[in-house]
Amino acid sequence: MLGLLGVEKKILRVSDTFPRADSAVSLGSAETGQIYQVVSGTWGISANKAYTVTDTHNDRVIIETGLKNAVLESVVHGQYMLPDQRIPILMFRYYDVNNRLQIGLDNGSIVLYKMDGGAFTSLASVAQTTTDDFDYTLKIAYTENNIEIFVNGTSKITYVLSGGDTKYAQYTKIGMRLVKNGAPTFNCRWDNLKVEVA
Amino acid sequence: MIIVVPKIGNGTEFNPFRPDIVAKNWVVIEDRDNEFLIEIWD
Repeated sequence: MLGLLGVEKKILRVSDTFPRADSAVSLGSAETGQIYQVVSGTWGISANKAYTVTDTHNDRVIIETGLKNAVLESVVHGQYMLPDQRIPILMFRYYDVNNRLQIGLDNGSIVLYKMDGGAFTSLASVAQTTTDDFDYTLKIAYTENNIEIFVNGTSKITYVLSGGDTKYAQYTKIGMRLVKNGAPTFNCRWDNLKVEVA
Repeated sequence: MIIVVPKIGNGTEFNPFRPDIVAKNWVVIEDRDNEFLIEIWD
C-alpha cells in the first residue's frame, strides 16, 4: 500500500516486543491485542522475551492473524548445533496440530519444513551459519504460493508451493515452537514478533 | 541443476522425509510418492 507521499506503507497486524513483566504462567496478549493460544506447554516472559517455561520439546503457541499473505518476523535466540539443541521455530500457515509450515535454524542450515497430516518433510535447506547462544532475525514473506525466507536481512530460500501443498496458502495462523534435542545448555527465546500485511 | 532423487526418512521430527542427497543447498520442486524433484546449486 502507498502512503500520501507514495512511500510504501506496511500495515502491521501483529506486534509484540514482550514489554510486560516477567511471567512464568502466561504470555498475556500481544501489544496489538491478540491473545496467544497455547497449544502445548506453559509459555511466559523473561527479560522482555518469550520463552517456554515447561521447556519441553514441541511446546507450541499460536496467534490467529487473519492473513493468508503476510510477512512474519522475529528475533530468535537458541542452541542450534548438534548434538544438543534448543531451536526456536517460527510456524506459519498453521492450520492445526498436524498441518502447518515452519522454519528453523538447524545445525548449519536454515530449513523449511511442512507438517502434513502429522508427517514432517523438509522442503528446502540452505547452508547458514548457526552459532549457538546467538540472536538471528528470521523473516518469512509469503504471498499465495510463493515463500521467501530471510536470515538477518539476507534472502536464503525462495520456494513455490505446488500440488497438494497449495492447501497451505489458505491458512492464517502463526506461532512459536520449541525443538529440544539432547541436553542443551543455552536458552531459547523469541523477541520482536511481528506480522505485516503482505 | 534439477534432478530426481529418492525420498528417505520416516516423517518424524528428527528423521523427516527428505531428498537422499549430500548437497547442502537444495529446494524441493515437487514432492512425489517415493521421490523428490529437486533443484540443487552446490
